[in-house]
Amino acid sequence: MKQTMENKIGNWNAIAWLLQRLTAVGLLLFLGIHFWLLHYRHPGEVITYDSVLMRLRFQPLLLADLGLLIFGLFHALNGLQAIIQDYGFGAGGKRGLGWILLLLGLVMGLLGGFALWQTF
Amino acid sequence: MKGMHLVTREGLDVAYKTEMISNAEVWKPGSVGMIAWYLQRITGVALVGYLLLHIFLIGSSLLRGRAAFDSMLSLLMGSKLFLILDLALLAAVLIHGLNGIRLILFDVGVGILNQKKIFWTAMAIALGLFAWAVVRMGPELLK
Amino acid sequence: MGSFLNVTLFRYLPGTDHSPRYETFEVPESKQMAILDVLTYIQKHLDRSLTFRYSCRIGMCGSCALFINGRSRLACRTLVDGLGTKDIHIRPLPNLPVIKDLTVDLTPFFDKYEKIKPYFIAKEDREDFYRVPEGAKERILVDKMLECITCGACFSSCTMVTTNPFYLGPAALNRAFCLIADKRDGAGAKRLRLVNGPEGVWRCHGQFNCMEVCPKKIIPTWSIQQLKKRCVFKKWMGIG
Repeated sequence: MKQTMENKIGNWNAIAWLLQRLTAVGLLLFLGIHFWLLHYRHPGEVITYDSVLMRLRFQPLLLADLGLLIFGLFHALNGLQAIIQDYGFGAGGKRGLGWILLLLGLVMGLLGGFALWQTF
Repeated sequence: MKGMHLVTREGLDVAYKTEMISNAEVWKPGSVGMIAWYLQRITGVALVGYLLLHIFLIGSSLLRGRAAFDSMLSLLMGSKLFLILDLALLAAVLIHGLNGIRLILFDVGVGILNQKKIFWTAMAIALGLFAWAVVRMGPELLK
Repeated sequence: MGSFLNVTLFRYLPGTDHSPRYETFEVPESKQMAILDVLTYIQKHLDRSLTFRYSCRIGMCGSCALFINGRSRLACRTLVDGLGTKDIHIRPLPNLPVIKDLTVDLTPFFDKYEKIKPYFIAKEDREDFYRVPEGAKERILVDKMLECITCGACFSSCTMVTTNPFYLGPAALNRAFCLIADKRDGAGAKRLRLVNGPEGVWRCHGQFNCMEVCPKKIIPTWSIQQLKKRCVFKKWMGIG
């Protein structure tokens, strides 16, 4: 069996692991803000397009939403990548389904990012 | 006897098949570490599914304009089912997040010897926050 | 002592038996009886064809690891009293191929152990000895993890070993840590490269089964955490 080797793309596994933790901490913050503002501050209030406009006009909150989008997608899809590797795919440094996940992440990120940008 | 069927696996370095007994019992969450791992993984996968759905729904609604967005949101947020699913989402986020904090503590070398106690503390905090949320949403649920 | 134990054993001879079966034996309980005593009684008096490994009888050699009443344990160090029941179920270790009855082929386990070069490799450029004072901070953790008897209990209890046939496993990674963290050893960087992959440290997600079952109270999860830290920061820690 081929010797386990560090991945060809530098120290990828280690960096992905670190980013998983960093995005996790970021998500605690961004999700907290998101849940509070959109749901628990005024329970039962239905969100309207105008309320979204008002919120995104305030730059820190736009950044919080963008942060949530980017961090959330990375954390989620990297998590899936780890699960796939747990089942033996990606052994020997092969990326396998990683490219598909990356593509999915980019597509969803663009959709969400564009929607936010266009609204703003 | 449960868990005793054979599984075969192609030999990794050799050509013959080897047989191992299935290790169903190893997978049983008898220990706190296993319970935590199951919860983290199950909530994680559920949240990935939710996230992708959410981005698609909200993103496409925003792009379709004010009228479409407003009607989609009032449809979703008006239903009782939505509120209940929303609480389920919160539960998943709290479990995954607080156990996640526990894992990050271990990653920096803190608390490994007390891993079980830390898990129950994390879940207690999750329960507390969840209870707060239920109380806060209470009036809406009971309407 | 007058009471009897109800002992159920996994029996299987691949190639001859069509499928595994469980057989139950009644064994008279004696004082301070260990599972190893139960097995030797059965082999001596009830069924001479029963196959299992043991050697030192005192928890030092690691030969008698078996899956007893729901988890991996050393047969010689597991007292019947400690199990709290008269019903005893014994199976061979999971995650390893069965040779016969309770005996497994440890080749996959030792192959992975060998991969990380589990032996001391001296530094080429030193003429004198290292002086490592007793109680040195750098040895506190390593010294806790040195006692591995390669029994296979941890390896057989890890579901990551089950799902990923290439995963090195807790014992190999723990041994790698002991050597990488040893400043006297000269192959730290090479070993770190060996464990820094998808079959190495990154498969550990903190189930802690290894910690639960280790008869030597080793905590592979902790060793692996230390390795992860070194993998991430190796450039800054000067071991990259």
